[in-house]
Amino acid sequence: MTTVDGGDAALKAGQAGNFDNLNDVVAGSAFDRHLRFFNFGYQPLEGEPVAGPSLGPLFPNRDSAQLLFEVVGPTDLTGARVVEVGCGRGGNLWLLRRSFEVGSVVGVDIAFKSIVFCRESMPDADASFIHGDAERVPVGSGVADAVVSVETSCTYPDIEAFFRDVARILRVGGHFLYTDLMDHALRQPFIAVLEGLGLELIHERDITPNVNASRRSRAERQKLAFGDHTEGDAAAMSEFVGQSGSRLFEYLSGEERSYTILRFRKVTDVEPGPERVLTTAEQALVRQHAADAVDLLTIPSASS
Amino acid sequence: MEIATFEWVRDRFAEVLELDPAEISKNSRFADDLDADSIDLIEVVNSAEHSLGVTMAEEELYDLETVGQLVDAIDRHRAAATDS
Repeated sequence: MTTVDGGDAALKAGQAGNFDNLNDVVAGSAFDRHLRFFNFGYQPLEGEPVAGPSLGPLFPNRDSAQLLFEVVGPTDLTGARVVEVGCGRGGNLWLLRRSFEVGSVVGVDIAFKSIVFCRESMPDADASFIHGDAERVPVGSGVADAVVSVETSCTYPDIEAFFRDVARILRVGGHFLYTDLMDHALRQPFIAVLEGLGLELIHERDITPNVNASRRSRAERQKLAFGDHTEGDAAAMSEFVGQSGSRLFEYLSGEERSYTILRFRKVTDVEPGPERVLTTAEQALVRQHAADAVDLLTIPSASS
Repeated sequence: MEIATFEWVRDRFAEVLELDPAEISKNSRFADDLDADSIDLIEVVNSAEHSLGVTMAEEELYDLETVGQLVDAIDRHRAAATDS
């Protein structure tokens, strides 16, 4: 029997360090205050419907904003208290406040410098940002009308602990709006974990071609926002933006993973027991992916 | 002598986009006519803030579609700075 143990502290420290370093890279640059998103973005393919409000052609990080709109889909967030786990520099919550009449937002992130940016850029009474661990979310139980998680869970070494906390902080009737690059071998197990926690799957969609299209057209340009770097830094920056030739871009183009949107609604409270739903092999795969992500996103000069 | 805003914006965009300034008018649309993106816009606005002494809110930039709209926004800030 395996039990929830809170995951791997070294991996989490590495993850926090990587994103703290990324904040240092852009600090003081022309792009600093505009760089709110880190996700790979979404481009509608020809003839596809487009979710959410229309964005101007020069809207910064337009594809990243569109990814959030696709994740939200038809979910009514009017007056909602929204918690985002892995909020980064706050782009999703900033956009939710700008585009929908949400009630209040709470962002949680393991990178302290991202939290500082969020607090400084959104110093509003209805926006709170907390430095914390996605596997032990420092938010009360049953307080969230919606939990948002965009392209961050693949870095969690103990994802089942994260799913348990999502279910814990959601109220019954609340929504889990979730997307990430997922291993095919893990998608159904992830769904099974969440269903076992009282969540009902209401939408599942593979958006790999849309994310791939965004990376193909935007990654090289977005890398410019990070300025000039040494060779080692440039490799990490290529991973951060998912540039063609990067490992993360290869994952998007390969057969083993797909970028998937999952939307759930919590239908009942479930008190999880000590037993895990994910098998030992599945947990090991999750941990390996998290370790890979930390390695790929390490900026050598900033961390040395 | 004060720098004329349109000419300044036009020349800066021409430099960033590697275009002939004569190809840029107030009616030029950033995306459709100039093939500019948000990174180009931010570069020009950052330069304007340093060179022209204006400070622009992010929200002002997000719905801009034409060069003339950006020029008008910068002029509003320059006028406000002169009045204060």
